[in-house]
Amino acid sequence: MTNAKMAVPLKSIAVLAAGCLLIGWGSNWEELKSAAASVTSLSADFVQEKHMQILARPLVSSGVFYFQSPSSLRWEYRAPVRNILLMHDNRTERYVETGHGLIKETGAGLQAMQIVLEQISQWLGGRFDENPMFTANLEPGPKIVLTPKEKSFTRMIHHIDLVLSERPGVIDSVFIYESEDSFTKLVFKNAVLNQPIDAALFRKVS
Amino acid sequence: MKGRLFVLAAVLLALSCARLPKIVPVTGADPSEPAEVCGRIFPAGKWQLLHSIEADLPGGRHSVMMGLTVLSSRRRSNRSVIMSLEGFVVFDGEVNQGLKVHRALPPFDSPGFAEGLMEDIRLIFFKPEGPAAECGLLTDESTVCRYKNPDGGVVDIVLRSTGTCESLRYDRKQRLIRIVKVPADSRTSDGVPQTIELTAHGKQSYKLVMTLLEAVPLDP
Repeated sequence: MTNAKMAVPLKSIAVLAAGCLLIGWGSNWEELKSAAASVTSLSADFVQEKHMQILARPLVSSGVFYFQSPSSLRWEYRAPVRNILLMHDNRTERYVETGHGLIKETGAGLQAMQIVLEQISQWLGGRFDENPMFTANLEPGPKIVLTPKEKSFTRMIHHIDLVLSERPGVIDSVFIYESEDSFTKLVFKNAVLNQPIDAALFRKVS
Repeated sequence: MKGRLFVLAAVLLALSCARLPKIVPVTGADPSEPAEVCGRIFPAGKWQLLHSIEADLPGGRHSVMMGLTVLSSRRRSNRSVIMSLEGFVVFDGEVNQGLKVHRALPPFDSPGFAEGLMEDIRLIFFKPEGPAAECGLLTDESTVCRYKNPDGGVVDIVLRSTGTCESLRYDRKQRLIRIVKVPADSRTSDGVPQTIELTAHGKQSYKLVMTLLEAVPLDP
């Protein structure tokens, strides 16, 4: 499996978080799905912390994302390394900032993006319990716990926690556990729901 | 186009044939001085370093990753982690009186990958073991310190007059197999290199450009 493919689960989860950032929580899957239907667009800033036992302090990255229903997404890391994922009109592209400017990734990376695209409609439709890659449990807290269905996949991701806010529909944070001593935390802020988003954002990197 | 390809082929041929250069001793100079200066180009103490890594790989592939290295110059130990730009760990290995791989996902689990990576890490961040076998000048008047590797190879630390520092690794047949370059004025105030270029020659040629994102000094 390529490095780019490794990034897929993380991106998928980030997209999931984007999708349910403000979708109005219910107490069961049906209510959650119903609430998800009201999301037409969404944008937010995010801060990501990478925690590992060996780190003196976590690695921090940050960025912004935009989503337009049904399946347009721009997921952009701005620091420390600019890295943009674009999904629009059934096309997926990834750009990475290098010494030669933003370059488009090709090959396996694109293939991986296609997988993300297939998942996004499920996440954003609130169909957490229908994803082919994860088993989802709605737990007190409230939080959603996603566990990989395939054992081989647990080598990459052990499990994922989506911690929901007390504010209905808001996710506080996402924890992606790769192993016992390594996890990634995503925190969202400045969320804007159902406001017009320039379609060019999903087609062009700048 | 054909002309360019010919020049490129000639350069590659020249590099592949690069051999151990002759060292001219400096008469009357303190013999320990060059070795001391050569040793100073490596980070001293314990550090947590985060780099972005642009990799030009065999087959024309290009990839950008992040590399985390926690190292101790005194213990000559390191823990090295390769991550996707999203922070997903694809390789996690450690050298501390032996190599231990904590996590290796395909293709980073291929035979010899961990050993090769750790050899590159050693060349980049650690002064070669033992005293210099020879010190002096190259024909272009660069200062050079030569160290013998336990595998029969050689490592030359070269300080160019331009300020660029290079670590050149030769195999036991004296063929140049690695070049590490740190450009002039590319160091933090603590002496940590901000830009590192590693070029690997041989069956699996590749080039890495490492840009320092974060350097955290750790308690000794």
